[in-house]
Amino acid sequence: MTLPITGETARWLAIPFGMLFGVLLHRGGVADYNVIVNQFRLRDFTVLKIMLTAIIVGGVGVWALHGMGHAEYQIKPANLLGVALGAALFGAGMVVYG
Amino acid sequence: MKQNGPHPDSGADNKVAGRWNPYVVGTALGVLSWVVFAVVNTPLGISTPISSAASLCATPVMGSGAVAGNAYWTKFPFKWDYHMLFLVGTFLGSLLSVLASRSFRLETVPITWVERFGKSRGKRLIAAFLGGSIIIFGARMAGGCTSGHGISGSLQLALSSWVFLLTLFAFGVATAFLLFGNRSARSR
Repeated sequence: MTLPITGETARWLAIPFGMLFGVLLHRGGVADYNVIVNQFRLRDFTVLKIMLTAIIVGGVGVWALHGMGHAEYQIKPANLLGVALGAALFGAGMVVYG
Repeated sequence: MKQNGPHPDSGADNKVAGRWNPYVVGTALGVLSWVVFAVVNTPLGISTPISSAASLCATPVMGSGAVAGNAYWTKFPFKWDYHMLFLVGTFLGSLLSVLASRSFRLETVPITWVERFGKSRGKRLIAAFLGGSIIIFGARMAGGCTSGHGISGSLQLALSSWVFLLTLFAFGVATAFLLFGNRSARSR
């Protein structure tokens, strides 16, 4: 089997990958209004614990995979003004929506 | 909505039944990132298909001509591609997870909201609609969300993603301070 898988097979893999993602987000508690809002109130650090752990574990692994030629980096364009404005709205919206 | 007994979600870092350790969940998300990078060459992300699917809701409101002529939806039209199916999978996975944990209940007004803004459902629904709109608008403007930028971008040390994450938290904390002040969640 050669990686990455593309086309129709890859498309259907999205369902199990998405399901794992959904289970992890729910079981982690980050699908909960209270957990999200209390993170921004600095009363519950679940969101940061999950995100920073995912970034560190994911980062080391993807970097290693890249080094072995098994992964390509997928970097979003550094349109920094748009990113910063969008992120500011996103953060404010998260406090309201949860 | 009526609460039965003490709510499990109030207060800080409470243990909630069926919830997994955040470091275990974070590690598993990191490993899932390895898998999707290596197997399908597509980082975890979720906001683009939501915006594409919005064109379906917009068609009866704006008319199909306006949707077809929209620059964003021309670039990202609704289609059952990998990203859309990933979104469907995420919904199904979280639904199965909540059913399996036997904690499923329909809740309109969460406890943290009630403590600050009261029990009005109308008020909560309007705020949720506006908050949700701002979130997805911000995600489009930034080109990603807490998954695409926050996890997938940051783990590659992408500059834009770290700008996204730090700005999001700075404005989130500031907004929370403005909306909630220093009220104690544990003062009940």
